Amino acid sequence: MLRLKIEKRLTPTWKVVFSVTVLSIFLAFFVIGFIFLGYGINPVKAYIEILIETVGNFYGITQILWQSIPLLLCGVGLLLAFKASFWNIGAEGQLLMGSLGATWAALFSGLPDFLLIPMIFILGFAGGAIWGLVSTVLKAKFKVNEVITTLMMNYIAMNIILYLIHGPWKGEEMKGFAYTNSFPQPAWLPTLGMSYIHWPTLIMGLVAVAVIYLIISRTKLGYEVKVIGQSQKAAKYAGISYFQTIFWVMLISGGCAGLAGAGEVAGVHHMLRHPDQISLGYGYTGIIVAWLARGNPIVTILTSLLFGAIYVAGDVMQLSFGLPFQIVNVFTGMILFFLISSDHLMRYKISFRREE
Amino acid sequence: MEWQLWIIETLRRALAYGTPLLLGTLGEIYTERSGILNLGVEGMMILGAFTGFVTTFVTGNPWIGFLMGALVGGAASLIHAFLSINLRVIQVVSGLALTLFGLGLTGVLGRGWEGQPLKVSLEMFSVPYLKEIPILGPIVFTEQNVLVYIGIGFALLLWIVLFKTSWGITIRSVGEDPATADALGINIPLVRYLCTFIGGVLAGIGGAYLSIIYRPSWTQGMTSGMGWIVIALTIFSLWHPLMAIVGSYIFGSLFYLSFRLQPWVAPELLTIMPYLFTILAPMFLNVHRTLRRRMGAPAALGIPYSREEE
Amino acid sequence: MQKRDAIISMKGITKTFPGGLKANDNIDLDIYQGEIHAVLGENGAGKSTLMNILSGIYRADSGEFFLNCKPVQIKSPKEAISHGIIMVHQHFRLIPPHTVAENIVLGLGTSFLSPLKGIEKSIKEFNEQYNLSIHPKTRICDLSVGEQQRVEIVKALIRGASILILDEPTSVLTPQEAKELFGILEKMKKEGKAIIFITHKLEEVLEIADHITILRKGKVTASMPSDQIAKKGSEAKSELAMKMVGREVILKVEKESFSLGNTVLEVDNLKVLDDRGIEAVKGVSFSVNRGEVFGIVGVAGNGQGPLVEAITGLRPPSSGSFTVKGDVGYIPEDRLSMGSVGDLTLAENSILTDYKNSCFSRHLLLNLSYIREYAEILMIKFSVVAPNVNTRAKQLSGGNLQRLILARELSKNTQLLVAEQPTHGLDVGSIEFVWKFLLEQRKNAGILLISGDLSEVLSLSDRIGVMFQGKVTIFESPFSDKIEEIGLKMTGF
Repeated sequence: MLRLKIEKRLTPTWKVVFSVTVLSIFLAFFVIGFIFLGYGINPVKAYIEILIETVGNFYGITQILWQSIPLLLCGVGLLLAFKASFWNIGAEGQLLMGSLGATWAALFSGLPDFLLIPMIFILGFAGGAIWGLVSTVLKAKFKVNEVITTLMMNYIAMNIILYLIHGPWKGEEMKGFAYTNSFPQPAWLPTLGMSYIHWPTLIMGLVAVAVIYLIISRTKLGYEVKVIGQSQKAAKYAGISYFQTIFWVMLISGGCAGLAGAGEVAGVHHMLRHPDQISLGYGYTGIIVAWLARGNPIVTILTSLLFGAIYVAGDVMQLSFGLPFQIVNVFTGMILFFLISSDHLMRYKISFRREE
Repeated sequence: MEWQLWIIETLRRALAYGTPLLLGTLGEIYTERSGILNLGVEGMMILGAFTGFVTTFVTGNPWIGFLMGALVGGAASLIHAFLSINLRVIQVVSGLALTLFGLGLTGVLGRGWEGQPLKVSLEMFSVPYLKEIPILGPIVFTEQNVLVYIGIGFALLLWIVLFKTSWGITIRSVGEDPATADALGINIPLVRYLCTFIGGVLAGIGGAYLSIIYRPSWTQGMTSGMGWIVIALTIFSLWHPLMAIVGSYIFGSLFYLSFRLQPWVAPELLTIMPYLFTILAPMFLNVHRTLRRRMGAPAALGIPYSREEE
Repeated sequence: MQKRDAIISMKGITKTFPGGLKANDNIDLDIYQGEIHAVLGENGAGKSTLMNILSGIYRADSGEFFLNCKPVQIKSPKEAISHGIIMVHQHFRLIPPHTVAENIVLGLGTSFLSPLKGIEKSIKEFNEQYNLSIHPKTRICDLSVGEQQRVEIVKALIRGASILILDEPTSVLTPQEAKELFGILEKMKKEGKAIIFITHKLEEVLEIADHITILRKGKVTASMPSDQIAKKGSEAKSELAMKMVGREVILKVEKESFSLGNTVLEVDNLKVLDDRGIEAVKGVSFSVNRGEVFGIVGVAGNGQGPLVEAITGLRPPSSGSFTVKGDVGYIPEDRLSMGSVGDLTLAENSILTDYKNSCFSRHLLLNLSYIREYAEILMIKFSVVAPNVNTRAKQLSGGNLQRLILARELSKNTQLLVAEQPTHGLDVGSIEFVWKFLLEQRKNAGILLISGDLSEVLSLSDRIGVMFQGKVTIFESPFSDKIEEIGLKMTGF
């Protein structure tokens, strides 16, 4: 008799992790195919078209790189927070507050031209970091669940920006529209050649990856993060201060999201505008970018590129097939579903055994 | 005398504004009482809102709209139930995925429906005789829609079931200590599936309320964080259906005030009020340590249960 | 005794756990009506596994059950209950915030709208029948441990238990409570119920059991009526003990004595509150000197936890004081989630309590190569068996993990070592290893040993403090003529 044998294994090998991850992504594409069918679109043709328009030509690739910048910054920051088991769902709000800080630097700081861009990044980082630290204090000092606070802070950030662009910061040159004035030219981030890639932010992202990689693997803070993330009891036993550790974690995590926001306003829009336009849900997608990287900051480079590609694919679907851009969220939600399901299955080794 | 009328009007409108929150919170109370943490309320509500709207639009009957909203919300919750109960995934992430999925899917499917007003809705009405009662009459029994009373009815019913019946004992026990309930022959997955489903159904009705009664139309992302406020309200009401009435109406009045105070304060800043309150309320609650300990979260909340590994 | 048919018999029960541990190996057991059947064995002998199988919580890999000679299947707790087989677990299966009545009716299938109706009457009947005093409306969390146990028994009786399994029922009871329990069991026996009594205490078994079965390493090593043993006297007893533990019951530990050094811990009238804000340590004074093991022994839950947490700085005392000279090493009871971090490597775990030390980290950075070398040395010195220092802690066996923790805590410049249940759940080899090292370590430090195992404390300690309900009574060596007195103090006499 052939019998299905299921054994537990403690740590899945990286090969298993990789193939299961790829499989989840493909499964998500497969299911989404039915939405295409529902719209009367041949999914195979659609996917071929999408492939050509994204990775199939130079312009598409620059678009992917461009879209992956905020995803990389949000994702790698979130990865650090998740490593400490701090469920920061608030990268979206932190990104928006970063864009707010950057806008202030660009429009109202009155700094000399050569200081504008550094100040945009500094205040962008500060905006995101402060926003992240609010939830940190609430969690560490008042034991308020961070999932709820970081999320509520997203909505608060969104409304603050709406208030500013409809009220005090509304630009005179923008008749009737709720935008701020355009940033002065010296506050625009330079872009690579003819593409949209605002390279200073891209470099920030890569630096963030390197720094967070070093923090996790080589520093005392990283050690503390890993212990807290695994067992708070052990952390207490080891004499690790929860508040201090999470403080630094969220300073960096929020700061990275803030940098992403600064990059979006100074590198793409050159003004502060409706939050839905500043961020296409980068903060939320960043959660999956981080989750997919499975604790390894270097891998966020790959995962953010993947989701950058999905965003560009979303654009393609919008332009070529008239599908709404929201399809990107369906993708990400679906991939997340398959991924966490496979997480469980990966812990089992399934084999067939012949039995008498 | 004008300020008194003003307060009465605020409270009266609080019932209407608080009802979707109440429905969602009651559902989440049941889900969490059975030990499942479903952070996908936002996703289930928006799915309920969309299907409720479309069904009402097509059939012209809001009741069928509510029914479909409930069913779709319930169906969505079953995804979370399957992942949490059978696959034992991290429930926080599964709930988030459900929210993303719901928001995305309704965004995709709902694009053609935006901006079309709903021609039929549920009538507002006053209850004869009862509306004459001083204070209570003008608040509760004047110009309300029937869902307000259904919401209160649900709260009472679910309170009785949870605290006065054998099912209630079973549900609470499963959320406190599934191993014990299991040893006494309780079917843990069944109880958890049912409670998660109730959560989805009620979130679906709450969502449908938004698109059928609250603003009889469909807008992408129209739940605007209400699902998250529901999560906070569940904690705020200490997992008690009657406390959920109080909490929901407090938030309802905040929503109403954020419209009413617009001549004096910028609307965006007023919109922040409920979100801010959501953060601050549990903070005060947690400072009160004895209260937290005696009526804290179900002990097994968010922890997957399996029999052989202890 | 006339020949009867067993009410339940188990044949060839075998159970292997995913880790490869064979907890039950081809076990046969016959249980008769109106009889108290004791199942004896050490920790890890497979008693609890066997009973979990009988009560449907685990499923056996192979084996059969016969209820009144008819083959039956027991696949779930529900099925076990329907056969009248009910287990009272060592850790009670009661829900603390719920009332007694709510706990009793759970899963009973009482009326939907008034589930508690009728229960109060039944509880009253049982109260009268067995001389109990259970109030249906009290919350479980407000009851004493003994009262909770009686609620468990009533819970079983109301479900129509004909075969009652009690897992280590006396381990949490005071001697008086135990006596009352035995009274209840005698009454149940007279009514024709079969009682399975799981324990590792030989003495109490001789007092109450009709039949004794001994398990060791998952196998039955002896099974006989207890009057046979009583007749034969003390020789039979020590033979039984041998069958149970497979070695001398009281270990003779080679123990050279050291001259006492300076005082490393001075505790003065210390009071500590527990998590619920209740005073768990009620004014305790003692001191520990270098060169000695001071053993604190007591039944779990008498304030040992909060006392240790206070001394190791994890919990602020409410009043009183203590002074510690030099560094404190601490071996926590909870090896898996406190003493080590499962997903971190052995190298990372080897510096858990000392990572701020300047040789492991300078400024912000960790000295990774030194940490690896250090871990390698520790592993060799303390013979920790693992592939390499990058192995994850969760892949280690309990004994190896404890060696690593021991190595870490002893290798700091430790003046005081607090060892909390250091051998709990370990195999014999590891136990001896741990004991040897604790004794050797007296050269450099004072050892505060906290344990529930009297024989461990007796074998290792130079002085003993018995902890009962938040207070400590101190005994000086030699202990050989005080063992009885110490045992009584542990139970509150």
